[in-house]
Amino acid sequence: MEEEIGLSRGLSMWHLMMMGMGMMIGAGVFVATGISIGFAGPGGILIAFALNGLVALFSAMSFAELASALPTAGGAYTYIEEAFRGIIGFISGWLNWFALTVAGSLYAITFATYTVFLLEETKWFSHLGIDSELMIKLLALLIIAVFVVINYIGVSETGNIENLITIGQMSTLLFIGAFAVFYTILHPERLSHFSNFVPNGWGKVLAAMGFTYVGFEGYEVIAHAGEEAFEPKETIPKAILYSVMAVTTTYLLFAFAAIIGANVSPENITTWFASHGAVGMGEAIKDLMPHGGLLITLAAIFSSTSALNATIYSSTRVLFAISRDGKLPRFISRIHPKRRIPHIALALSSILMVTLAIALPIEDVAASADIVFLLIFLLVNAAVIKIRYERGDELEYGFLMPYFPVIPLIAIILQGILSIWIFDVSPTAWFITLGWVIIGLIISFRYKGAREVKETFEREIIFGEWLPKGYKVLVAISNPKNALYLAKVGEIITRAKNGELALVSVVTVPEQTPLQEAHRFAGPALELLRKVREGLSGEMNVRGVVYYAHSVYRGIMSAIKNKKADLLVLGWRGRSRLGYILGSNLDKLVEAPCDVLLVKPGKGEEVRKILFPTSGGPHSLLAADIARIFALENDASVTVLYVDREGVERKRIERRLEPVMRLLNGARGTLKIVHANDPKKAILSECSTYDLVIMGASESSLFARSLFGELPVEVAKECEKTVFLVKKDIGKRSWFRRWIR
Amino acid sequence: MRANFLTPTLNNEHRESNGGRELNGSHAIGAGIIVCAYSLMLFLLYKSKRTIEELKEIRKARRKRRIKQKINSVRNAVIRRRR
Repeated sequence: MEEEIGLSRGLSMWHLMMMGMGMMIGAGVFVATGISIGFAGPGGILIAFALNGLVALFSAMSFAELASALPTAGGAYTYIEEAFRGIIGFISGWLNWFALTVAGSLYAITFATYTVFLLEETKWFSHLGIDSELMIKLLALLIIAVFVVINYIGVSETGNIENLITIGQMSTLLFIGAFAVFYTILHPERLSHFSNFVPNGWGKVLAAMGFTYVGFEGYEVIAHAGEEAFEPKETIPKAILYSVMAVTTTYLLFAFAAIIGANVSPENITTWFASHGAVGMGEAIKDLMPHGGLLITLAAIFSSTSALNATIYSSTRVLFAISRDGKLPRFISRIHPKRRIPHIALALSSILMVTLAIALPIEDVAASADIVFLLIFLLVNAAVIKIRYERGDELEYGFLMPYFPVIPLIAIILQGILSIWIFDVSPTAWFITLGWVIIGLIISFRYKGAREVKETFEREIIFGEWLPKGYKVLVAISNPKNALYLAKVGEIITRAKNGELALVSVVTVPEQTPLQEAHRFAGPALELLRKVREGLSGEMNVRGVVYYAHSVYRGIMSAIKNKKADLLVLGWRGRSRLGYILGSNLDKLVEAPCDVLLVKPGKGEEVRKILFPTSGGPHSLLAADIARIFALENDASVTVLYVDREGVERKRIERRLEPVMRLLNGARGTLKIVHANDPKKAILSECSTYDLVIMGASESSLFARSLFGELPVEVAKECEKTVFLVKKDIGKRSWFRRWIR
Repeated sequence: MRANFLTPTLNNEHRESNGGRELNGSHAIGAGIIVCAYSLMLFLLYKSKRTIEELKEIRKARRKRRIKQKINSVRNAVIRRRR
């Protein structure tokens, strides 16, 4: 009996939301809120949280879209690497690792700060006479050491306890918020704390937005759970978006509670928070309710420890992944023989975390984390645009963000502005981040693996050389019945253009199978390529390449980009599949970023008479060029057919078709005008006396889903002779059509 | 010039005499931003939820159609064999 091993799908939307919210309410909010009220004022922090929620939702939509389409991937680094590859992919991974380690330092310091805040209340601690700052650093070091050991032993997954902690911290914060609302109803005079709403100007509100942004990261952890979720295409996007909304509401209530709670005169509230710094929140909640100090301290300690554990785990995994991808030296991804954990990656992450926690004040650590997360999310927003543009057709999305690409573009702009604005709070953080980017760039220039784009498994050259110059014709072959005919068509055009010919065959494997395994199934494709090459004249340079991909479309698109093809030759059986105009792959491929020639082979190969029905237009010009090539090659005559429905004068028609006729120069061409109401019938009745029919795509509106146009496709379907449908790549117009489809 | 200088001072005095609960321009703009941002978030959430449901329906319909096609092809094959 065969045993199937797989991950059980046990995570509901509720579980996923818990995971996301648990990571988001890490510890940043306990530290950053108090400090931010200190410079942005009571109104400033509420505005900052509301706007941050919106910006975070924009980015969350990008994550939700990518997570719904690429469920096996996960995390910012994977998405950016998927979209950009090369050096940007490496820098994003490099920054992601830094962001997670800085966040780890922040959580450790938050733990230490709030523990000291709790201890300061006790008599024995004051008797010890230890400096609070020193104690904070020592405790931060200790907690990092504890969790590094836990991760080293390999018990970082605490399962349900993590969920309980999240429920505990969420309910504590919501309870404090609800208490504050109730308190305000009883003591409305406390609303006077908002009298100096934005005391230091709107610039400080922007700075507060940037500074508190760290509290809005963490939802990306939901994307990792793709394989373990019920209905992942539905639950993952929903969980990501709902958790951002829930956390924004919690933060707004929490900040409101702190402002209402602070026992200070309204005009001094900003200075009061500024003087208390990181523990401002704790002091304010202590004033608001009985045992408030203890409650908030416990919430901060639990949040920071659970977030620290998860962050050490994630940062180690990211560094391990970068090294395993060959972008950093391989020894970093070594696995401990006994513990089976990436011990070197864990050690390096821990060293960086400890260094940052000891060397920097908490404000600079928080600001550094903010800058790096803002930059990474900015890249994810760029990645979502690029991935939808390049692979949107082939991916099955569970969620498509509304108002695309406006939302990710706004998010990119806002995140750029916010990250720059943090300079106002902590110039040191910017220098640290820039320094880290420079180190990354130096590594990428010194270490070859960092800038290499891994394409080794994507294709295999079977025969032939490829010269970089000249007109490039790419023939996609898969069906042995028409492969040789298509190759011959490509050869004729290549010879006429004095260019290069590439025969491409795509071997596909399902999404869950790595491309490395695809070569095992390449046998028939290799045989077909060799057979087709033998059938060609051998007068010119022909290259045969097999592409390995997860879909035919992606394989051919890679070939087009790789070869910078000018013309793509495709075969079509002349039948439509249900729900498609030509076929699932062909519908997408005819919108490829190059000229396309769709060949429907018919009866008989000899070409003596060519029929060229046209009414002008850019596609007809390319069709005329191809008609001329085939006429000269076969010494055939070309009949340009114009179907007139409106009784237009012959002279006007001739003037209209002048560019087409000019292109036919050299071939024996005649113009035939037929008066008929039904162009399809008229063309089909002419077809029977010709050997080859060549038609250009008809012009359609930008938003029409007509591909070649209804008429050429219908004629090609019903005509028994060989039909060529030609479509010219008309630059930006074609690009826009591909994008909106 | 004199009026511009005096207005904020008078406003402050007036606000303090009212327990500091007087609304000023910053309050109005701030409250407006918070309400707008929150409403936009809710609207986008609603829109997104609708998109997710629509895509779910499309997936369901596609799955049904594939099953139907499979059944038809099997049925046709059986009929052909019987003939």
